[in-house]
Amino acid sequence: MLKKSTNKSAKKEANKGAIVDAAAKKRRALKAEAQHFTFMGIPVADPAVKPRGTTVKKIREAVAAVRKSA
Amino acid sequence: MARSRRDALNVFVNAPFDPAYDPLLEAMVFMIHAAGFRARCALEENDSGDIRLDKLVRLIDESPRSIHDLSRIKPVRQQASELPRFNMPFELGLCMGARRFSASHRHDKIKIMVSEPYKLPEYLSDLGGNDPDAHHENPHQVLMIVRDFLQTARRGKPLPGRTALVGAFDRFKRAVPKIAEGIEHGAGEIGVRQNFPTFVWCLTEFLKGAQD
Repeated sequence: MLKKSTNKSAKKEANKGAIVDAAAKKRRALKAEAQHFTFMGIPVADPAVKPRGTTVKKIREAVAAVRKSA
Repeated sequence: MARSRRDALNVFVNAPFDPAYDPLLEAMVFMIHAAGFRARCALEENDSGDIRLDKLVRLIDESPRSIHDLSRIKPVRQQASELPRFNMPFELGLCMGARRFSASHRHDKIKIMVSEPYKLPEYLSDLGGNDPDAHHENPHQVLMIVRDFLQTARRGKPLPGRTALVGAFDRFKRAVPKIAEGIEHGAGEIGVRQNFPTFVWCLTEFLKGAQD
């Protein structure tokens, strides 16, 4: 009986560690992604209204193409 | 995506909307977004059913900061009469009134610009105690004035210096025609005045991840 309970708490501790690691990994990924949304380290705010006559996706693709060709 | 609430990042832009002023307006909007803020102005909506004054009041209400360029308050030669343009002082008056009469706007920040120094008292003596900045019709000077205005309100990372900002602004100006081509528009179709919403989206996407 004691062995079972020890295994259970050990398993719980191991899972807790895994959950903390996964959360830390996700935070690091989000932080890395956010670096791409800054201008010289300053976060860039999205405009208040949608673009007119086109889409955000098309604008992103066009800007990416210009940046690549530069 | 559309926001209708007061946001600390909103900066209301009160400036002339005419072709001659476009370079200065581009610089102003560029600097606002480069500093991490969001430019708001009457050009962002094209709703004929929206009464102009209601739109202005809403924009001012949503923006704790505002920038006003009074450099066009001078007689405009027209066929029948010479009338200066009063919209800019009127909108400045709305912001000043909000700051004085509304508790929620008490800490709003206002920046006034003119073309030449010491010109303000001549035509707006009620603001004689204020100290506007003169841009001398120079877009790079507009960049610096807006930068210095937003720098004092910002906590955290300091804004880049003149050389870096001017370089980035000039690079963006050169990129606009190519971006326009990429979204199947003519270069003049996504100008700051012609299509403000698309212009600012092109600008913000350009700024994101832009290198020094």
